[in-house]
Amino acid sequence: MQDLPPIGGYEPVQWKRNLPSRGFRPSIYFWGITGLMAFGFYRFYKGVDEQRELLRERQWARFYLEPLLLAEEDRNVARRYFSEKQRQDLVRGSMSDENKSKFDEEIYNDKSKFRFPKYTAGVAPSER
Amino acid sequence: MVLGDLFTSRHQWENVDKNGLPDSVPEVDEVGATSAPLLSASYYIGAKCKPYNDDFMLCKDEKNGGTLDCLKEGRRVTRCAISALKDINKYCFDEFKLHYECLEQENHRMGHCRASESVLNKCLFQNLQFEKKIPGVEQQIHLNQNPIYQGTSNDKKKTAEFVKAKEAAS
Repeated sequence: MQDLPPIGGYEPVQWKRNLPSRGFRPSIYFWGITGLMAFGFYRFYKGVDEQRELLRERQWARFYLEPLLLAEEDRNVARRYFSEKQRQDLVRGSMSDENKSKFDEEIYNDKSKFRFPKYTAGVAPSER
Repeated sequence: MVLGDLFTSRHQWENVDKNGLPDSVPEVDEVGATSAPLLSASYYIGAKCKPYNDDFMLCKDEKNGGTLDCLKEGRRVTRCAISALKDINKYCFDEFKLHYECLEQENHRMGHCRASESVLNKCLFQNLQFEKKIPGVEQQIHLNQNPIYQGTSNDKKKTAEFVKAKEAAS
C-alpha cells in the first residue's frame, strides 16, 4: 500500500515571497518631491512679496490720513491747554501775593521751546 | 485712608474737559468719518490734499511739534479732507459705501476687498480723474489680477450683485 497524490495533483507550492510592489523608481520620487517643494517655495515667496506690497499699501493709506488725524488731535490738545490756562488764571486771581509770585515762577530754565504742562491740579480721587 | 487709595487705577478718573476752544481760534467742522470710510478714501484724500498735508506736517516739523502754532494749517487740512469726502459722496456714494462696508467686514484688509475697490476706483477715475497710485513701486498691488491672499468671496458676490443692480437701473 502506497500513498498517492490526490486526484488532480498537489496545490502549487509558493516558492516566492509575497512582497508588495515597491512603487516607482527612486529617481521619480526624488524629482517629484523636489518639484513639489520648488513649487511650494515659489508660491511662498510670491506670497511674501504680496504681503509686503499689501503692507506698503496700508502704510501709505495711513500716511495720507496722518495729517488729518493729527490736526484733529492737536485741536483737542490745544483746547484742553487753553482751558487749563483759563482755570489757572481763575485760581491765580484768588491767591495771596506770596503765593502768586511763587506761582508765576518759571519751572524751566530753558525757555527756547514751549512745553505743555505735565501735571494738572485737581482733587484727589479719594476726596471726591 | 485705606490701602486701596494708593492704587489710583482703582478710581474712576474722569478726564473730561468740556470747555471749547477760545474765541480767537476759528471754528472748523470735524471730519467725523469712522475708520473704514477714511481708509477707503485715504488715497483720494492723499492725492487731493497733498499741498495742505505737506504744509501741515512741515509746519509741525519746524515748530517742534507745533501743536499750538500749526492750528491754522491743521484747519486747512481738515477742511480739505471734508471737501474730498464730499466729492466722493457726491459722485460715487454707492461704490464708496460698498467698499467701506466690505472693509468693515473684512477687518480693514484692503486685499480682501479688491472687487469693490476696482468698482470704486473706476467711478473715481470717471468722475474725479483720480487714479490710485502707491508711491515708490512699479507693481501696484491693487491691480494684481491673481493674488494669493484673496480672503472670502463675499466681496466678489456683493460687488457682482451691485454691478448687476446698477446695470438694471440704468
